[in-house]
Amino acid sequence: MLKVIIWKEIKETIRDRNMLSSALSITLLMVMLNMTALRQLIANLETFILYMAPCIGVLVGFSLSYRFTREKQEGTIETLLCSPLTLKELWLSKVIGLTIPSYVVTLATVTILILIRGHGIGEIVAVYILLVIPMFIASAIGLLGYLQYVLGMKQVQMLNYVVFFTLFATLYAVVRKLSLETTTISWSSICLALMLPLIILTTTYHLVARLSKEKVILTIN
Amino acid sequence: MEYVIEVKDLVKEFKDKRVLHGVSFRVKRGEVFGLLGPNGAGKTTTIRIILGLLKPTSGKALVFGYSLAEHKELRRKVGVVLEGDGLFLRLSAYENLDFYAKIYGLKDRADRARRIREILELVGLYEARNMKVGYFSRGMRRRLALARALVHNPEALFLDEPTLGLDVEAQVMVQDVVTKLSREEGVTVLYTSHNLDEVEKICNKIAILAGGRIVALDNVNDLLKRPGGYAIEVCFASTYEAMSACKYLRELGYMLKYERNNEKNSIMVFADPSKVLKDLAKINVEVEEIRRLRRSLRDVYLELIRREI
Repeated sequence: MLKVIIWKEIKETIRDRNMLSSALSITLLMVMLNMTALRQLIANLETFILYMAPCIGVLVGFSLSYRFTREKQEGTIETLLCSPLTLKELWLSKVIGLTIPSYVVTLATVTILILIRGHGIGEIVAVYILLVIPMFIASAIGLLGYLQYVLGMKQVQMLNYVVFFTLFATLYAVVRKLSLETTTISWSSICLALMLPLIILTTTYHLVARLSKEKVILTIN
Repeated sequence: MEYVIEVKDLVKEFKDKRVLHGVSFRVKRGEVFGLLGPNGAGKTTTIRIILGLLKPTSGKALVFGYSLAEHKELRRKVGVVLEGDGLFLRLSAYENLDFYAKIYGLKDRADRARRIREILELVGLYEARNMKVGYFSRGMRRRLALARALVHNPEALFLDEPTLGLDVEAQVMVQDVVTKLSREEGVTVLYTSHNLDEVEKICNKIAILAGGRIVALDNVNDLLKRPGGYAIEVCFASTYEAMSACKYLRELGYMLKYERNNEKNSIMVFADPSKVLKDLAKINVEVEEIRRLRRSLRDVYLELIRREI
């Protein structure tokens, strides 16, 4: 059942021109930043990946997470909740289905940056890219999805503004940090970095499991 | 099991507002049950509770003897068309039906393909099967929503205004499909619509909701005889006499409608003809003609709703 919804989400993402163009814009922006300002700011590619890659992933995930709200706006969620699917299954498959394209965009951006820089990455960074970044994206999408389920349409709009400005403030802070220091990734920092999204994801999963259909239905209008 | 849908003493409160006041009805297998009422009467809330989308404050709503909220496997036996069409606009008509067929457990690919073709032909959308739903007209989407609800061969159908936005031809198609399913396949249908002619045509039994209460629950034929049991047209020789009769009967509490066309002065009264004649004799107006009319569901509905308001 999950596979069916995940595949449907990916199919819809591929066909969504607005979402695709925003994802491509982010990739292009990052590449341009790297080729201009950031080239002087950081010498260490690992530092860049450590801070910037999760931001890119969350930004793309944020642009895709609108699909939770759209399902409410178009009334599709009401029909889906009448099917044998549970709210938990719906949420989980949607999180996975939106994380995959967001991660692909992030991975493409990081790969392009690595190719531009012309040098390889270490084992720890590779693990970080393969494990921590998708978890970061999934936890952000999961949390945003949960909030979009429980909030009314006006509140969701407010939430989107808050998240959008927070993301840009974070990006600004990250760029500043990159200009000031060089960080090396250790196994312990990877474990710590993995803890945060895991905690968020597990907590959100339990919150969704307790969420009643009534709460979702009554916030449709 | 004789009754597929059983709703008993359903009460629903949102914060301090009570929107359903002890709604009860039962729908037999193969019956097409019409749930009517003005906007805000509680139709959608009732359907949402039956489907397990909302929790009742008290009372119960059972389908096949169980609550759909608690028995998710039972939902496989149910098809729904709600206010939203429940379609994915970036997928084609075929992909939408294929998705729902999989969700409802139709595993075999060939079976799915055959069923989808069958159902798309039934709603007249087979030619548009590869077109994205986003490009569909309102009517086409509504027809596809019906196909979506039928794709898994449900035993019970919940149709909330399924003909909304459809042209006359498509409305007739939906009515024919619903009638055929109930008569030939024994599918139980809960149907809501503001089109009373349509409801009169396809429903066996009707419940009229007003202000969260059932104000009438009966077979269509029996309902048309209520209240008072009659609709009569009384014709008068002059406008003066018609107006006098009209004023007098209104004072006595009759429900009536005055009509004047060309040479005819008449009033339509919902009451026993002998009683009306007896009352009119008291004011000495000359009655030219009196005849019984066939009342439509619209007349009964308006009478009941106005009385409640």
